Amino acid sequence: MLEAKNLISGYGALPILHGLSLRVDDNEYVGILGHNGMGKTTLMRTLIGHIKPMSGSISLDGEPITDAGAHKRARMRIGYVPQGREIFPSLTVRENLMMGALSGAEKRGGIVEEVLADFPRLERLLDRNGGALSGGEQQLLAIARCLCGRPRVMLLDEPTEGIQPSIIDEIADLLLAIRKRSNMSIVLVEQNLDFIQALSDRVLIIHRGNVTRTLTANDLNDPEVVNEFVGMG
Amino acid sequence: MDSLMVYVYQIAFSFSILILISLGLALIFGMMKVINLAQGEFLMLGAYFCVLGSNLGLPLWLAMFAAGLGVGLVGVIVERTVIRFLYGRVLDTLLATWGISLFLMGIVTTIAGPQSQSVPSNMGPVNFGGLNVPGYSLVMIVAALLMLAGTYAIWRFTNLGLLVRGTMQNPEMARALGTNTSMIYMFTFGFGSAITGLAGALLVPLFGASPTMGSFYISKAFITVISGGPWPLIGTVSASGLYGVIDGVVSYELSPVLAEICVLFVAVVMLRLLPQGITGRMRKGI
Repeated sequence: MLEAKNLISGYGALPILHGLSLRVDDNEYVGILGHNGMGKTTLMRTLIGHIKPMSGSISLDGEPITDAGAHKRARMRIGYVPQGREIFPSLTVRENLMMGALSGAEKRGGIVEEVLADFPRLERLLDRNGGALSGGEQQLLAIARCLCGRPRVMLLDEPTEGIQPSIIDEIADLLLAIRKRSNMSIVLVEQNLDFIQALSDRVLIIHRGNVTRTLTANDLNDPEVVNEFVGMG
Repeated sequence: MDSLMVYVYQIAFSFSILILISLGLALIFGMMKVINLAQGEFLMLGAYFCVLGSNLGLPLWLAMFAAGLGVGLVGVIVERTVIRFLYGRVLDTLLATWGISLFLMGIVTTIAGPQSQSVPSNMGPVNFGGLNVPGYSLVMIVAALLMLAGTYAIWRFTNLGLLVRGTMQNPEMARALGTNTSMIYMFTFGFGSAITGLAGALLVPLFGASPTMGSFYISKAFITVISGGPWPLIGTVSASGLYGVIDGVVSYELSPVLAEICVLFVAVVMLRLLPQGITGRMRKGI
């Protein structure tokens, strides 16, 4: 349903993605693996609409969205959990969640409470400022905030970066549970091999702004394949 | 007892004037970080719209309200045609808004002439705790408090206010969550302009309207908002409180001119001691 074709995108006149194509189906979790500087975050920022591609197209259910700004894409229920989490530091946890719910396609009450049912850690922190949370709590908040927009596809950029292991496990369990009970898809950029293997149906390898290989999660059990990526990060 | 009431009145009066002239700036400069040099002229425009409305036969309070709406509209037009292309470009914004400021002064002088105009409030003196004070000044004090409370309530308790605060903290993330940040900027600038225009109109019965009145208030407004620090609303209230006390007491005991010198002196000392402003160390606020 989310499809990108021949994306050439980057900053200024310097392209970082060189004709990258990508397709994510309903309820599919796609992992993206690649060394630093190979264009993973550029891809995510292009998909959400922060960067306008120089050429190529993006569509959601066949409807072109290449020229739609980020806020329109969000309202079409593309969710974004950026690298570095980008929590609003001076809004409370509840207000951060409401920011995710207010402009969503489904403006109904109770959505914040519904999402919070999956985040017991956050429930205790609702009146705390977002900036006062630990890295792991902020990551949970960023994912919860994204879920408040009821996304059909979630763009998840390096969610394990600098996060304590117990919370990484929590996030993995939660996303697996969501796959079972909803139709949401995920595009997951990650350097943590265990995490990406646990979640992904397919893993795309990005090298110099292009998808060079597609692996199954099982392929990541192969030590030779893993060796290629050891030393990343 | 009488002298206590004099102080209370003087301080409330000075406080309300500071609130009136700086509230719009607290939003536009404090929140949006747009250094709008035409802010004083928005105030002046509000005053003239009020005079115009009154000359057209509107009751005074309606003319004031219309003046606020009118200046809000001017603000929206200015934001859409000029400011929105200049977010994050401080020097360009300074230049452009200075140009707007000169343009507004010029056009008002051309149309209305350089002399000062006024609209009487037709309110006599009232007894305020044993003190005879101009009745209209009490109206102005109450109006300033209402505008403050209203702005705070919108920013703090409404969904729109939340979207504004989120957008000002991280516009890119707000967009990725579905907020049309361009509309939020337009609304905030328009709202800040409207309350500035309303403030200008409220000043008319006591201080009149003249093409150059903006420059008289603009520096005080900037000093107040800057002294307030990173939380524009709470900061502006605290700074208005501090300077209101100094201005009120010194104007009554000595002279208004000395009061202004004292306020400026305290502002300099305070910003030396608290370079981040009064709310610089606060972790929560608006």
